[in-house]
Amino acid sequence: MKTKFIFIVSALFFTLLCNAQTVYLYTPNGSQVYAFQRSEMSASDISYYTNSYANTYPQATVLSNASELYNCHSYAWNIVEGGPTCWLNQDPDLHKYWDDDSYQQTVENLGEKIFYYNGDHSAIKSQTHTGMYESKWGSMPLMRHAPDYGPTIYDMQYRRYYKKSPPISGPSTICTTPATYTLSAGSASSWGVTPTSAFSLTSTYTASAVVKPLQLSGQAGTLTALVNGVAVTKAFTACSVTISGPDTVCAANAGYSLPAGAVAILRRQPAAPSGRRFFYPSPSGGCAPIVLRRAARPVIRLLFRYFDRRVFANNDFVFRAVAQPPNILTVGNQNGDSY
Amino acid sequence: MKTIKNILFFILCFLLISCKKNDVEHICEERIKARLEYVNIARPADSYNYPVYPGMPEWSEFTTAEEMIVACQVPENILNEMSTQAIIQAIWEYPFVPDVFARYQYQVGFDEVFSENSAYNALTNRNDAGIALLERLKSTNPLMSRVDGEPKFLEILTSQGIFLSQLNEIQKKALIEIALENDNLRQDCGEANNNRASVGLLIGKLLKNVAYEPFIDAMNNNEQLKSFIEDTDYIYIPEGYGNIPQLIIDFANEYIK
Repeated sequence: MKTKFIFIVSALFFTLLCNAQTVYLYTPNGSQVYAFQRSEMSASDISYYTNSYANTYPQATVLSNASELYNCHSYAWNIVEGGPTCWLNQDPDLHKYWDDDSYQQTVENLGEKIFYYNGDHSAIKSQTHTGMYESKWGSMPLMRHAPDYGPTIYDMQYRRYYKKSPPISGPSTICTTPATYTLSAGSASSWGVTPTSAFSLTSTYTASAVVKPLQLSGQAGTLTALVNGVAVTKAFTACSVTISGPDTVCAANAGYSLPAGAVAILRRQPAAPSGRRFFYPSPSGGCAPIVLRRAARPVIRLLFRYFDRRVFANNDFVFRAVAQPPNILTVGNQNGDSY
Repeated sequence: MKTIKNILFFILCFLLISCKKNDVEHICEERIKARLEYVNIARPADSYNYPVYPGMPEWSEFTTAEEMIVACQVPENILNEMSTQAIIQAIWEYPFVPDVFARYQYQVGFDEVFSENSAYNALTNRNDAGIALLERLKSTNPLMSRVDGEPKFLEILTSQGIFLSQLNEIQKKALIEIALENDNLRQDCGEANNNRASVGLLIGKLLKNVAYEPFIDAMNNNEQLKSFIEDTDYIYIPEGYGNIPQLIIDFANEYIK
């Protein structure tokens, strides 16, 4: 009985060892894709087909010899992404690369991968030759070719373009309004944002998080979600808000403005003490200029004593010298958040 | 100790049985030699010589595949004068035959390459095309290197319904026997299971053509078998389809008894 068991186990082992192997690939969003490994054709066949295709399609360039180890779909969707060398048919699973939102359809100039939907064929854009594609022609060579140059069986005029979906979608720039970021697939067990000195998470959910900048100085930040133990990230920057206007203010009104989209609010708007308003410098004393510190940082606190301000629009305002107490001008959003 | 010896013994046995390279080479040599005794058909005297062919300077001037294809159409008046074997030769030498294998299903690839090919269209109008293909297949070494021509392509060409219909029952049985012999030879010589699709397709279409009842019943009860014959004849048979060629071959062995 024991011997029989060993016999069966050994038979199964060697049967598996000597046959073609199934390979399971995974899309960026984790869908399982069926593929398999094949044995290579003979050296003479490789040479024959490579030369044959070089001759038959002289406007294309052979990048790699004919091979039965991999095909067009595997090359475009798997191998160039660092996957194993194997054969991947369109059926049953190729569609998962876009149906699970790992890739999204786009226009030609943004496409990274090309699917010839009438011809059961896939290609990538050449990184070295603008306007050219690279694709493996079945068991034949890997070729660099014009988008519609190749075997007619691929119906090369019918193409769809795909680009990799960001794992976290949301704005690449955050300004005064907190930004919502959403996972394209899966659930996050935790969220984090860095640097914490410049950004904060105002709320987090399993599939999304809201980020608020603490400064508006164009600083870079990174949002990280932990999905199934894997960290996925989204990089972004805060917008940069500076106040434009003269460096010197005399008695005459000086105009200052914020960039479009930034809203000026007055944190403290004390009434000028009655009867004590005066211009500084004194209209009679000549203009002793005060050098303003132009806001290079987003914390736009204009700590200018003796100035009054008049807001004419959301991003235009005017100062003139006034009496104390000091006005502090800040930049914030419509919700009253200030920076 | 006895158990360890047993394990080692069985491992050794299976290494020899499962990966019998030397045996394969020996069997192959013998069988190829036997087969070559009746192999080879001379290029027909009235064969068409393509005026422009890959490798020629003129060929490099084509900027689209469509231009190349147009240049490789045999003129109808010449086709009318050619023997059936010469037309088959023109198809055999058609520069885009390898493109059939660049697609992942034989029939789809064949249809794409030959649906508007003048030589193929002429062959479909010859009443003796089926017999000529049977003769050609009989005379072709199934293990022939692709450098010299693709024997599997001949099986796909022969499997087209219009040619199978031209054969009588005896000829159909003969064709099945040749296909089985080809498969036997390839299996003995270590061809992988996923390269059996062409012979499976030829035999399967023949069994369907003769309306072999057990096979028709099997097709009706086996989606994968039906799909393989009528729809998705994968050149490289994926998992789940792996037993389909063997299933077809088992039916064929029963049929020719």
